Amino acid sequence: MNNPFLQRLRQFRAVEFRLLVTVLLFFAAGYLLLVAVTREQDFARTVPGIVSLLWPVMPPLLLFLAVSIGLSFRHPRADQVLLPLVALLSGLSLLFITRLEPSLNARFGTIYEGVAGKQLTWVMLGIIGMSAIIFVPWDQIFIRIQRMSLMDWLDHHRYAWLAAGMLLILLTFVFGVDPNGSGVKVWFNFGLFYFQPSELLKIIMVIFMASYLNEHREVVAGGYRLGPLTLPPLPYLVPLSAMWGIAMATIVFQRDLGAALLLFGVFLAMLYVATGRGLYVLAGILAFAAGAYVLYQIVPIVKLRVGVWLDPWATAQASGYQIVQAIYALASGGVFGSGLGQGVPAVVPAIHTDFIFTAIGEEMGLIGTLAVLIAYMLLIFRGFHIALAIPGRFRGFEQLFAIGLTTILAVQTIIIVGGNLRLIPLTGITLPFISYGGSSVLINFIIVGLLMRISTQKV
Amino acid sequence: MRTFLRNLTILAVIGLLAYGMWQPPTEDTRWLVSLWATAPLMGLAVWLSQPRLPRGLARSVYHLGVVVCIGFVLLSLQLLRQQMVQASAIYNRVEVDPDSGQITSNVRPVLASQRTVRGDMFDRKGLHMVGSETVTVGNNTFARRTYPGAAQFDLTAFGNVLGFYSTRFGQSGLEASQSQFLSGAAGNPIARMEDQIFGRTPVGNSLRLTLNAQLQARAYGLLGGRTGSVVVLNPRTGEVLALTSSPGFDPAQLTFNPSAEDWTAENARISAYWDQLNSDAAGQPLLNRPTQGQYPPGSTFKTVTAVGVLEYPREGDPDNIRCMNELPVEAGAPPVVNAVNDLASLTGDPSNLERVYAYSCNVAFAQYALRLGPDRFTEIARRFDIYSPPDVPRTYGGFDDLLTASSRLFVQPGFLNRPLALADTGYGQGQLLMTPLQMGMVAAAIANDGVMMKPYLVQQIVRPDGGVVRTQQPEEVRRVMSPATAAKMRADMRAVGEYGFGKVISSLVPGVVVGGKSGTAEHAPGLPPHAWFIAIGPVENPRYAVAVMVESGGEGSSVGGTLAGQVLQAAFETE
Repeated sequence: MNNPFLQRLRQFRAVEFRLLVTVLLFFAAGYLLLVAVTREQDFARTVPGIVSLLWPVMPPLLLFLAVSIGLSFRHPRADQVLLPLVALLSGLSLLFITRLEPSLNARFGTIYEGVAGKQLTWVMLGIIGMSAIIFVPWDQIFIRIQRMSLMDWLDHHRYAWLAAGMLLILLTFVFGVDPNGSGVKVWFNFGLFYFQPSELLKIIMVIFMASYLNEHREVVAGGYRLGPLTLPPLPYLVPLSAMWGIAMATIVFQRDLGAALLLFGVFLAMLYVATGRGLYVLAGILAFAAGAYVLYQIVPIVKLRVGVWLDPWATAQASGYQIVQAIYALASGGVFGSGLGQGVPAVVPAIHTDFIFTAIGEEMGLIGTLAVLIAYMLLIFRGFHIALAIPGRFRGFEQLFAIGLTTILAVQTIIIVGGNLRLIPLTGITLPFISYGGSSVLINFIIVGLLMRISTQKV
Repeated sequence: MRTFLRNLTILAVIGLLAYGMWQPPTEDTRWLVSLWATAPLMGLAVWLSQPRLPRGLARSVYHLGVVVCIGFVLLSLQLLRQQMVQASAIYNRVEVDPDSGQITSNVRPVLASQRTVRGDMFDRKGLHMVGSETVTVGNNTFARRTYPGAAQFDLTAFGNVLGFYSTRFGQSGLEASQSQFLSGAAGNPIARMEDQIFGRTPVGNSLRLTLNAQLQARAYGLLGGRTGSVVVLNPRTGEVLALTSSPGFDPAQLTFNPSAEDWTAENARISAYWDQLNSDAAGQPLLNRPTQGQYPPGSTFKTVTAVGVLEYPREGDPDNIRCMNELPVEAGAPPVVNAVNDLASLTGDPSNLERVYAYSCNVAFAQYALRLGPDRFTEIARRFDIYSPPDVPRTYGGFDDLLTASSRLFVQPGFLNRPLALADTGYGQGQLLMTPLQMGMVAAAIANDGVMMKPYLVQQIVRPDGGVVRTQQPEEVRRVMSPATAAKMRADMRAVGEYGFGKVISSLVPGVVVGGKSGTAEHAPGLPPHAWFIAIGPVENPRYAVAVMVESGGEGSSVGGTLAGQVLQAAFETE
């Protein structure tokens, strides 16, 4: 009975594997439909024809399957739902960017030539990066070199992380470039590709916050009494206020509203989770509102964005063009959508990055957009679940870390989809896993890799 | 208490959402405000419906989850509004900037229409008048209108019936009224669904028209550049055989050709033609005069008055009539006079209905109208779908294939209560406003033994696969007069052609007994009168009912009669 083969078989991650196969079939069917609709001449109704069409686009999904099988051997008890959800969202990304590439080329010339291929490469690199985090025995390596596990190492060097974050911001001021004319210089030019440092900044900030709040949780939450008032312990709030300052400074000097809003949202969420005090959140929101009002008065781009949000139709041919076209695109999709490849999403500028949700809305309709939102919800709640399932009393850092990472995905999704739907002012930021963009895809996969790694520890 | 509060909160949320969700897209701000207002209420509702949790990480994460959840619910609600509840209103929203005049609208309806292969149009003999072809330019496929009929005919004669189809200037004529069928949006839902699933270029349904293209072209030629209308109906069925408006326009010249080398020049060419059509000198070629032109009908209207006195013989006493030189109606007002002096020498004194009709005696018909009185007169006119205020429909519902104006017995309410107004209306002046089509229908009702048929242009709508979507069956509007009245009226009309003020039509259609009635309508001081003529032929068993009208053309009996006779001749020759 103690056959090692049967042992392996019992560890086989059947739920994850089946879900991944479903995602793979969904993606293959979607891709074939897309080819049938947009490149009818290439579509062959024979098995070899279909295989030759599919094989260039399947590697990412096959890699997911390989990761799943690998997990059966190395970490059989890691979470089984995260990977299929991420595979679904990445598959949707590949599908839509493949679909959008010819439309973008027809509209803007050749500057978007090859975006689908690049995205495919980035997704593969993302999966590889994620695998590296999951499969490399980091704990052994770190214990050998640093005498502590990976998580402890992250926890231990919190001020180094804070410094790294500050440095990253400074470097952005100095070396930031603006390759695609969006008006904000928030990319690094690495020759081969552009990297958006704010993507990395989110993880760094979450590490710092998790570590700091875990260390001082009791003090920060407790406060001290001054007569009838309970005041927060001021000295401990200084680093936290510094975070608020960073968020505001990012808006003022970099005009990167999306990143600032994201950082601040994650900051507030983590502060609340660590302390359980709504008062801090309220104070944070009021401080943000006050700051935002002042910025509205002095920073033109904030005023512009808010004006467009309040009445995009007034400037429908100028600054409101993008959002007005997005509104038309969503309405044109209706409940069932125009069908993959049959809409005209490319009239919305930045359709493959900031506004990719609109393209899904136009071609897959309300059922498509709601399905995507549900996928994000499941992903986010799975992340919270992982955080709460961490056993043991002294794992506060990992809990806060997992919550922070999940909150990044949650806040980022709400900000960009809300901006697309004109629920909040638009801020340029990517839709996790779906938007085109190397740094974004890579960092999101690293987030999932970290969550997966944390989830393996629930022994 | 908590449950009550929670239910109250939930009700408030539902109320706010229902209020906001149905706000029109122009009132988006109200919706956003009510949507945002629901967010704290939703949080409150969740808080009220959960037991208090002990302070700790689990509670905090739970609260964070609720906040994230509310965020996603707000997104979903916004999607529900944008993609379902208000989707079509947003889809069709057109915003005009008041300062620059720039128009913002959705490009998709235009793009969709550029791809649709619209259905063909054939005349009653199967002549291919309008077609479609697909043109591939680069990666894009466009469909465009072609006009095979142009090889045989001057398309200008057909412009107002077929209509133009332009992505810039819209559509008119049958292109507009049958657009749903021509585009395929209506008529073959299954094929449309397949097209959508497989992304095929949609193909529309074809129209088989009742129009006789040869007759239409001949009629336009007979108008010879004069401004006017020709209507030819089959009185038995209501089929519209010809519906000519002059001046016309060439729909082919408003069609964009995507295969043109230079799209800017192509657009400029179309714009230039459009501007030319709309210039003052062009004489409104885009107006379809037979159905949209409203004119005083002159003496052709005596036909209606005559039907009145025949239907009410006791009050009307048709064969007890005198044709004096003048008839004083109201003290102080000028008397009713005849167009020709000493007409009694022709009609005889005393006379009868046939002779006063044949010689178009105004004084006699003024007396008839006064005998009938305003109520009976209004009732007789209403039988012919000639409306009296205030119950005038904006468009005439009896003919729905083209945009058609309603004909009116008078304009100011209460007008007919003045005896002089009633007398003037009796012989076709007053405030009468008739479309040529309506006068054609008057003639057709008499030709069809008193039953007025609903006119129609579209005989059949055919799917691309040959299946029939719809075949138009002849439809009665109503019986307008008794068969006896109709027979008497045919005899009267025959008298006009035989010896009265319309003899000219008989000479133009040798071997066939035809009849009719002329009309010379005063419309503006200093301008020649409108020349009218309505005709039926052959009188014994009419196959055609004709109404012709030349704006400021002169005498109805000569100009109108000649044209009507030539049209009848053409109708017999092209049948």
